Amino acid sequence: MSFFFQQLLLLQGFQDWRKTELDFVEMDTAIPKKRLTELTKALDKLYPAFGKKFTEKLEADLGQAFLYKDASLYIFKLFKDPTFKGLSLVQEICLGFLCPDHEFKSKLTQFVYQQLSEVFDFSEEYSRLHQFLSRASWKHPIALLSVSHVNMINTLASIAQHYGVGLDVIRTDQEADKIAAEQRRGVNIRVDNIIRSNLLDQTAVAMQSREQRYQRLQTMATSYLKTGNICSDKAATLSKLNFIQNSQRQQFDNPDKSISEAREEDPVRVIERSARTGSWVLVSTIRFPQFWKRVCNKLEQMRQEDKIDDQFRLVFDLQGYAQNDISDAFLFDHAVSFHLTEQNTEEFQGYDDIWSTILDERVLIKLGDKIEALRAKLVEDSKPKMPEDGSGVEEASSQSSA
Amino acid sequence: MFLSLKVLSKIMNEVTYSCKMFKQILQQILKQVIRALAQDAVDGKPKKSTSKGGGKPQVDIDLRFFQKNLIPKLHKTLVTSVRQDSSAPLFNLIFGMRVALL
Repeated sequence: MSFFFQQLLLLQGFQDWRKTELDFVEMDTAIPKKRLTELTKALDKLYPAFGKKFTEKLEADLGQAFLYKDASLYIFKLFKDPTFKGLSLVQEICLGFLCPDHEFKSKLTQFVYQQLSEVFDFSEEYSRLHQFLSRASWKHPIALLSVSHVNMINTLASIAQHYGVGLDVIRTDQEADKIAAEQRRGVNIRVDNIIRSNLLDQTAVAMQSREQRYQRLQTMATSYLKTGNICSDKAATLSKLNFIQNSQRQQFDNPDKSISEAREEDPVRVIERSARTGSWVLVSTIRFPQFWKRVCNKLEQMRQEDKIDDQFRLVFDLQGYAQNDISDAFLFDHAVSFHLTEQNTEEFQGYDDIWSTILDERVLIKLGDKIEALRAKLVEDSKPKMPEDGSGVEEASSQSSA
Repeated sequence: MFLSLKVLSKIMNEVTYSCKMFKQILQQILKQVIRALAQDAVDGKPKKSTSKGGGKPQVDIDLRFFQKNLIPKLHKTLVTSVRQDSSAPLFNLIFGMRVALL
């Protein structure tokens, strides 16, 4: 297993192993000598009985600097050879790292189906939102991450209507609005400056020489940045680099706020009431809601008291948020995530409305193609035809005028 | 499944469930599956479960229960909880590899 994952992670675009249209390697290129040597050594060690024999035969017939496309054909034939015919699928996959071609990918697919189908009714099909919502009486918030062209309010309203439950939609987050307003007034600027300065590694900066810093690096378990702050660290995770994006997002004004000047009901209270009565709530705010923790605490308390109705569902619409906008703790410990993409779109009425369809990339591409084809046809039609008898000039001119 | 999810999380740098959350998800799915089977038993559909004794409906927790009901539903829930374009197929691959080693 360790060999498999070590080698898999070395492949470029390993996560796209299921996409048949992409190749791990350029088939017209030669295998790097260093990689071949490492693989040969590892395979000899992994399969002492036939690994060496296999690699030696490959090198003897193709040489040490073979092209992937040559190896692809050759390995395919080699597996049919009586010497290597009895190999298991895993062994063939591990040897296949010598040339990770489409055959290698199909073996991976075969392997996954073979293994998982033995244990349960395995299917690669992704479940749809309505199936997910009815799979359990979810008493946790549902973090709904959907592609941009889906109108989540329409979709969820359609599903709620289908199941005959009420749906409340929360569009305003007063806490977040208040923070945004305060920031614009400059109240938080000083705090922001403090946060910014805290991003600097003060311990490393305080040390005098570079040697001292390196020495400290080796002795301490925690790693320090030698220079700069978290933003200059290439290895920093995306979620750490959220300061600027977050502050930019805070500048957006809530478009729904101007609709009503009256103070609205606390969203936590709305959710609590729905949890008791068994209706659905969709939280779809412009910024990641600041009240999520209060809601989670409330639901936790209600779960313990068994006061949540089985019909209740709470959905947080996280469409359009960047990864760093969403609290990691929310996804990790408090919510059930659901990804809605083109592969598991809903067929409910309301989903296929004109606006969601018009924004769908696939439709846009098709429309673009159609426009191009129409343009080409028009250009073709407008060209004067040159018949053999020469009488077509008049016809062409009359066509173009028409 | 949980270990596969954690390996995936490490490889893809994606936030996945904590152990506590995973258990709660499992619990909620399990509850719903048993409830549905019990309802089937009451409605007189003894395909997946049997009603014995006339009183409370009984549900068989056997290998078939895991193969047909619980594991597929849990698997589908986990697969849709990660990014579908890249993480979900990788999760299947990791899970398949772990199953092969059982």
